[in-house]
Amino acid sequence: MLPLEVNTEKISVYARMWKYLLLFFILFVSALCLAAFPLFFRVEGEVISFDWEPGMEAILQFLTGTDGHAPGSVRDLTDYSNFGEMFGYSAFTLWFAGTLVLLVGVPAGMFFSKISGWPKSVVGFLGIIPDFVLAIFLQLVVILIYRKSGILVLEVASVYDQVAWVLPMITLTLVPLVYLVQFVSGRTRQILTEDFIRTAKAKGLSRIKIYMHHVFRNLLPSIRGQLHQLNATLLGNLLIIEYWFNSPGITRFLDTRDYYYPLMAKTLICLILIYWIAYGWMRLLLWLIGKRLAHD
Amino acid sequence: MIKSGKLAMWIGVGMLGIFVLLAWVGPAIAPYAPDHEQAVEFKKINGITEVSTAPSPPSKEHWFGTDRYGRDLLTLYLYGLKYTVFVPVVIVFLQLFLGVSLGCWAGLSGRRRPVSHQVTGGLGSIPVIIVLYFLLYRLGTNTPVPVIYLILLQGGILVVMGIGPVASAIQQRTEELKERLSFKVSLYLGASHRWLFRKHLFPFLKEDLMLLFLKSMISTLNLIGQLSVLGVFLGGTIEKVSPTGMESVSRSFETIGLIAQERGALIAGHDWLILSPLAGYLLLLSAWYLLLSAMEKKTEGKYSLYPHL
Repeated sequence: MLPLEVNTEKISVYARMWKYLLLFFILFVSALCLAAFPLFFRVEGEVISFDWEPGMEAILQFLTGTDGHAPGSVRDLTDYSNFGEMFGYSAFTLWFAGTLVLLVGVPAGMFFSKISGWPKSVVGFLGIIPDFVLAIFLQLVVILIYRKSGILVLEVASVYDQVAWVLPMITLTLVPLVYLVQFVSGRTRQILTEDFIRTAKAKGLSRIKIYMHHVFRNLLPSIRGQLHQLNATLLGNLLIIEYWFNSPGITRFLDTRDYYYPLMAKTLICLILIYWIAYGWMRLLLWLIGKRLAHD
Repeated sequence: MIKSGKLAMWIGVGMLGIFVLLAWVGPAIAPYAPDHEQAVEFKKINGITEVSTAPSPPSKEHWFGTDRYGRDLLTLYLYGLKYTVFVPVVIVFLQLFLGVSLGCWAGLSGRRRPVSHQVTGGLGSIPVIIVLYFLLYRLGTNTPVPVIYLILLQGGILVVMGIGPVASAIQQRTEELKERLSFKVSLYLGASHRWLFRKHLFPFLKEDLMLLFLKSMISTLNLIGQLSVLGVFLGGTIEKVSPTGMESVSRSFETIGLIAQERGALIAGHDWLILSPLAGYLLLLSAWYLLLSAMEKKTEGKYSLYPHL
């Protein structure tokens, strides 16, 4: 009997593809159901009852089209004509914040692993403060400077065509940055206790070579494993920050006070898209950095 | 000489004790009733009658100032403090209790995850805040259900959302502890799951659980804060039309809700509306952080190896 050769590499690529397709299908269905959730409950007096019909009807109408509209379409509303620009604002904000967090957080974390005492406690405290409290402090600083000097150094919120960029970006970036610095710092300390570091030190390798070739290389897989959590934190914070600063991003359409199912569903699906664009970019960035700095 | 870690711990415990006391007796010592509204006040200063309209800044009569409806902010803070102090503790305790039970059972029975890592990792990409916002919004807004029932409902949903990560972490730790020789010997000698948990798992999980409790407390407080920013207040939301558009305010006067409902206060020059409850909230957060910091220092010192560089 001839040996049966199976190309295991091809099978694992197909298996991965199917798993990602399954994941995106689950995310798509979850977005449709989540957007319909407010319709699943009816409040009559003091009684809250569950009724799946209005929600299911809204989902089916969105998918199959209704009143002459195409499937998945949204009727024109105030602000909706700017949907594309607002999508661009949110996508750019998440992409830029993610890039900043990675490029600053990883080297800062490696440096921070040698720090102890009160700076460590201060950074730790910064990491537990919620994003909207940081937003309040930043706004307060700018407002106090304005009251004393009459100079508005930065926009504290977006109003009409005056868009606030810097304060929302700082607020969005700071909490995930502190988290990444603490994670990288802890992991660096762990790697520095390994035997191969002692061997490299005994062989006379310089500190920089040890950090780049041995510490950083072993850090990369751990950082890759944290990307989903980091990006999810960034996306969750984006919702809060865009609301607090009144930013012109698509999260504005998630205000359930003006509830309209097709717009909710479309916005959630776009947020999933924004998430995966940012995640894909961060994976690529890590791969490029690894290729350049942590290679054989 | 008291070590700094222990000092931080005792300061944290002391601060928490004060907050528990304030939360318990708050309504009894509040200077006004929470529904006492005084939108316009007339004061005679040096023979001249001065008019102050709500919201008014801190004064002798109102230490924290008044809100837009002329209600005393210190009173609202004292009435809402019990929800900020006690509700997150109950939520986290239930999350840990159920999460540890599920995680240990899964670890001891050798359950494998039914779905692959790519799918579960990708599903972890859904931010909890977005899911909770959609789950809780309609349930709590302008719902004429007593505050306590809404808190039970909202708290229940928060508990359920938090069990998964705890169970997953405990299952992983249980699987690591199962490799210990003492565990295997006990298992082969016919020990029950209950015995194995009591004698071989819990002693090692104790410290992890304390750290997990403190970290979960802080993250639950932050989650409640983020939900409040989006108009989902713990204890219910009152949404009404105002001259500036739709406004949402907290029904229960929970502390973080009092902060989050005043988004434009700094820009409007009514700093005290945000800063008064914010000071109270940061002190509570600092107390939990001091405990967490002391616990982390204790664990780090005990188990860490010495770095070679």
